[in-house]
Amino acid sequence: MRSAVSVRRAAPVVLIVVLGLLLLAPALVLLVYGIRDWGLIPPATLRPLGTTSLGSSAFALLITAAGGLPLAWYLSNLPRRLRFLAEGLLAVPLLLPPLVVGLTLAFLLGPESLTHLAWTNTFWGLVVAEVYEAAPYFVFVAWAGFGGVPLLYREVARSLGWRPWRVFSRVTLPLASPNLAVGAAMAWSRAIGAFGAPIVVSYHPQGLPVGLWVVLEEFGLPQALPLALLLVIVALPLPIGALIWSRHAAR
Amino acid sequence: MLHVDLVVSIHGHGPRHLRADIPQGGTLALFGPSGSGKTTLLRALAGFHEARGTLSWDGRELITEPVETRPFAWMPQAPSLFPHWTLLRQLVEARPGRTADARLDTLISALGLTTLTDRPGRRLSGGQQQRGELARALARDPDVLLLDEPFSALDAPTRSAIGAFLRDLLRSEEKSMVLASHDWNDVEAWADEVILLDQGQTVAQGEPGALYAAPPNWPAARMMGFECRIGNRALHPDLAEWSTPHGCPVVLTGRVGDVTPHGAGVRVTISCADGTTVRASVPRGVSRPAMGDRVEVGFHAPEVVDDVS
Repeated sequence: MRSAVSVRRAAPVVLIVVLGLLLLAPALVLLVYGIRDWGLIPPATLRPLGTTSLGSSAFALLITAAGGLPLAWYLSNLPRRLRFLAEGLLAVPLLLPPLVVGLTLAFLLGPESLTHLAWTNTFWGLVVAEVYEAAPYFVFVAWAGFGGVPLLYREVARSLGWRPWRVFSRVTLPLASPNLAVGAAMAWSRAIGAFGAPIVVSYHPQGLPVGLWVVLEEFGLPQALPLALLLVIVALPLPIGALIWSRHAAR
Repeated sequence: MLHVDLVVSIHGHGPRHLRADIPQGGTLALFGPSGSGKTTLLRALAGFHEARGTLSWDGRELITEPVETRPFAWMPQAPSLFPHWTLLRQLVEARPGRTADARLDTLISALGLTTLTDRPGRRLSGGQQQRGELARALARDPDVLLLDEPFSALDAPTRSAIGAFLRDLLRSEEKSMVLASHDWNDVEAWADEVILLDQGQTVAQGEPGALYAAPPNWPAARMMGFECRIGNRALHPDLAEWSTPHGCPVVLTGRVGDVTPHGAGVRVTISCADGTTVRASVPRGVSRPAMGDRVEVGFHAPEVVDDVS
């Protein structure tokens, strides 16, 4: 009897410790070896990688939000039959392997394609590749956010004499904003960590993920680990901030 | 005057006709059980539910106007204060001028909201929300109030205090009101005219006191609390006559069964020799029969013509 109770008490502790070790192991490796070998990063690669990654991801997030927000709002008002279709379409870039997305994008954006854009191996080509990997996450989460705003609040707002834009900006948008923040956090993480599509579309200019792979190939693990730490340091603040804010706003 | 002559399709019940004229300062009640279509009709007036026909306020045709320009304030039945704004902010934003003015102060204190203005909607209880919603609807300063069960979450003292305030306001500013309620007491207290609704169908329409005194048909009588029929007379427990039963159109003798408290007095069940069972209220001041007693009771039972439909 007594031992049964102590097992029941100990079980969650053991579970937390084991899970914690499993989950934290990569972070610990990254911290310990990344900091130890920080000096091994080829200095010339550091700045261009960082700025290219931050710059392209920022643009990708901006484009995703600017296009995804109205799209998500529009989708949340679709009749049920059409919703299914929209879900399927949005899922395409999610379900296709990123490398395949990259290949098709390289074809579409390349100099020989119908578009004659010649965006492969340019900054904007990289941005487009990142948008393809990031946007569906944002749109799905924002869509759920808009859909979760009870119709009743919007109706009451209209009955107060408010025009549609006012209803949207005062009621719908603030009530959906925790979801929008989460969606933006996910989109940012996908964009800055995007590898599959960017490596095909834009080998140069390089963001951190592709650069990391190149360093790994050319130099080895000790040089790559600190660069991985840099990627994490660059990628994390925005989503963490967004998640904290969304928790706060939802309360 | 609000002139209503609308055909509204009520979900599951098909199209229904709603016709009424509400003078300035007058109140129309929509009365019926839940599911009878009160909410849908109110939503149709507000402009959320499709309706065909005529809806006009002082000659201004409203049926083609969107929700936001109709001279109404609508208060839905479900709690609807915006969760993310403080009560004060939503009251201010509901004012036509969007400023905290003297009228808003009056509303806040009259509805007992003074200590709640800093709280966001999500931190207010059902009753607090209901008072806040009423304040918000009144803050809009509409010509017509559309209120859907506006007192359902209020305790009795609050209800009567707010009722008195609202009544004063309706009278002094000559606001019209359409009130949806399932409580006949509310109807009698507020309405100049009532529409009795059952499954989307208008069962009766008229002045509440007149309908109660002479129900036009049996379904209407049932809705107003008449419980059984003896011949073509409808019996309501509250219309029992104990002191001089023989002046009444229906006189019954029987044995007292159940005795339950009712208002200031009691309500008794009486089983008659022929097997009919009726209920009768015994007001305060009349000697109370006990269980098993043999009693004689009269009913001021109005005559009810059989079902119209």
